[in-house]
Amino acid sequence: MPASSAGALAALRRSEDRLARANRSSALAAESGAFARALGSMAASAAQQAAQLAPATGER
Amino acid sequence: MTPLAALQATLAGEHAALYVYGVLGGRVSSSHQRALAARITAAYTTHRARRDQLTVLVRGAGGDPVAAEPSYQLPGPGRTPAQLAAAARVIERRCAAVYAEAVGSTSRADRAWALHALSDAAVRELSFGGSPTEFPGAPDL
Repeated sequence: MPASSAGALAALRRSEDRLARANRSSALAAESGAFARALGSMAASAAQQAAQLAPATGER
Repeated sequence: MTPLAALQATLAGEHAALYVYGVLGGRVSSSHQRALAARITAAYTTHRARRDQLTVLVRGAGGDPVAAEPSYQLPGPGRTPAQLAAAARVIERRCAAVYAEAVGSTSRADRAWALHALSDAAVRELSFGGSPTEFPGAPDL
């Protein structure tokens, strides 16, 4: 865990980005359409969290 | 829903989004609400590109692209800056819902396209003052 709050927020943002990518990848590979929809929505949610954290980490 | 029907429904959603963003763009002051005007313009440009991409995707799937309606009902009065932003949030939420349906009804490249569009709409909603949600585009989950 990073010592500074800025470092922790940046790490959290990277984590949300990774989660979004993983969920998108899983959605793409899903055999079930319903499951793909759920995973795609979860990817979008993680993307929202990453975007929300961007100003706090000085990124866009 | 068949893949073609999902693409057609998504295209119909883009037609509506374009219409509404066009109206919002005409009502926002580019001198007094510069940031909001820029966001609306960017959204309009993105949805216009999506409409064009979907037209190609529908044709590629063997369909005849659905045409736009003559007009669409605005989601709310859309007069003040707050109302304009609220209308934009509604449009992005509605688009996210049709993108999510497209994710579930398509595969491969079309699904990848819909996944990207879904995340993009969810994030764009935030830029108009929205809040993150657990399941963007799929509130029934």
